Amino acid sequence: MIEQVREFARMAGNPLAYAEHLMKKDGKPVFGYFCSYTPEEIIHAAGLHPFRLPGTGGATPHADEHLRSCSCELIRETLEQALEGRFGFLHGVVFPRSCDAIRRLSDIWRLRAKIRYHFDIDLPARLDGEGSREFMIDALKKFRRDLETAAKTCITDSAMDHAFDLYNSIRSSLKNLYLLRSANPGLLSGGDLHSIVRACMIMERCELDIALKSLFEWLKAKPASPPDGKKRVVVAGILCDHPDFYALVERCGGTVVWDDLCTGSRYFEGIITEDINSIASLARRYIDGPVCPSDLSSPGSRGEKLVRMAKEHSARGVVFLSLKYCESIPNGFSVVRETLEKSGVPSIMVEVDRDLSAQDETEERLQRFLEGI
Amino acid sequence: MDKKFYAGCDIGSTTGKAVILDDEGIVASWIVPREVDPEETAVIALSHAMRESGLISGTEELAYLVGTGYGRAEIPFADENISEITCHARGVFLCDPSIKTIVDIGGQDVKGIAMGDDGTVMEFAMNDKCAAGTGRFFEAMSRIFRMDLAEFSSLSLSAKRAIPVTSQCSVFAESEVISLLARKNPPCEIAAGIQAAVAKRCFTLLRRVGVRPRVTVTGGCAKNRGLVEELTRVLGAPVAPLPVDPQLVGALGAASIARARCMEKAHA
Repeated sequence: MIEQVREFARMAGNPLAYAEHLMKKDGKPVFGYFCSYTPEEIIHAAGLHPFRLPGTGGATPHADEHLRSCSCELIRETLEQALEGRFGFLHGVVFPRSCDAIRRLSDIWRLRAKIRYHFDIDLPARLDGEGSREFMIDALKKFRRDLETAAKTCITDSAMDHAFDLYNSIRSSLKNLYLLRSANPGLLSGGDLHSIVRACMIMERCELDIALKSLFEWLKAKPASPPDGKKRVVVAGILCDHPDFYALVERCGGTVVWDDLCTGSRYFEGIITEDINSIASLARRYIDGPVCPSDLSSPGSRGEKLVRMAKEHSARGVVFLSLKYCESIPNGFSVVRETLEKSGVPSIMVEVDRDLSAQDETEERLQRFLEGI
Repeated sequence: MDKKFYAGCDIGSTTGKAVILDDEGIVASWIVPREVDPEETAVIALSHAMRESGLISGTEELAYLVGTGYGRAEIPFADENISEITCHARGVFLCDPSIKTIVDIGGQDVKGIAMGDDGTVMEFAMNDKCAAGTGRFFEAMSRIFRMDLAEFSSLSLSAKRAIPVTSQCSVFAESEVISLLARKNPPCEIAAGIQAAVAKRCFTLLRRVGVRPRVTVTGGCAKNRGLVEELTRVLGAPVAPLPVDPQLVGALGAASIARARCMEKAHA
């Protein structure tokens, strides 16, 4: 790992320690969230620190009392930490109700986790459906009011504008990093880039903005690495909570040059433009921007988006990453795959366990896929 | 000009296989049970094969070696590692280019492979992390009958009818079989039911990749005659036999790729 990434990786590797350190240092209350449909900008504007709740790996005996063992691993792991009291430092928590698993998590969390402030953000059933924009605006307005209660403050429009500027800057820097790496994958390993994105959801955002800009300038000045013969692929899915996944792809002969993940491009795509009022601008980013493949969009439009993404980044195929027991990617996969096939973009779906060290079948399938594209 | 030798080493979950080729054909081959360390399995399998050849005394005398199987990344003397799917397709194509569909039943997985007319892999499907229908599954089943796999296979072939075994999970299937035996059902009919359940599972996998005749079975379970006969019945078409031990096909494919790599280099 290159030195300039080590600090990002350290934070991504131990997010709870970082959050507790930050609280002690700045005294800023930490507000946990669970999905990229969380309007971090409002949390920041309220003077709180947005912190994406991480998974951990390991057994989930407490969570298994409440959730079936075949529920999404990430959901169970997060609940486990909450029930163990490891999120005791959180001032509050917010759950955008984007999939069934998150809805159930929120319901149980509210009753058992004993975090002071607990909010849900109701999302439209379909982001491209009729009335979804108005629905989203109302949901965001309600969240703003909820947060004003939690933060005991009035969230001013000027604080919102400042947050938009900051997040636009962070997202632009991240996108620039992605573009730089897409043009020259040898600059940074996929795992390193993943650590950077994960750190973005944890780190103090003003410091992050500076750190990203500095990293980008440093990488931009590096000479291009010679081609290594690895096959360029796009990874698509809900999220990647497996830093080792990128190394697995690289070991199998590929390199991830772009992604459609909420721990990736969906986090930074969509800049907020303020030609309308602030909440409407924010809603527009969600409605018109990248859509999560959970329940919020049609498989047909997802396929077309991935074809465009693959062509734009000269990717030879798409690897769908499905978390164990997550239903969102397998459901509708055949339709997405058909759309890709019609455009000559091969694809494969791999379901991964938390521990990637003994994924023989996944490695076999992935290697064969990469050999064939 | 010195004679050149090329090797393929397939380190699977239950056995290690090595095949050595020259420019004419197979020089030697060997199958050994898996050791704890895949590297050690590879060393033993290859040492035996080299000794059997009577022509090669060390890996440095091999022009190229391709590793495959789950332990492929752990073979220290391999020049390259290639997926099992590619190697099985290559091995089958070398044996019989008229074969278009493969069921590979190994120790810990089942694969369906559809091949193009030139032997390239067109489509493939694998069982997920589940032992149902794999070599491990058959080992567990034959243990219940206190038989080895060959005896279990013969037992199933002696049945006039099959008692359905409906559990997909290996552990539940084991419980189901124990219950059926406890109820004094004829063991041969239960054994036939097990073969039918696995054959149907293979058929489903093959439907995902498309069944084009001719079809063959590779991997250690291809030696289970009861399963192959049941698969023939389910497919409604004969399973094509191979001119080599079906357990060696992956290593043979790997050796064939090794030979091709050397030729590519020579022509470059």
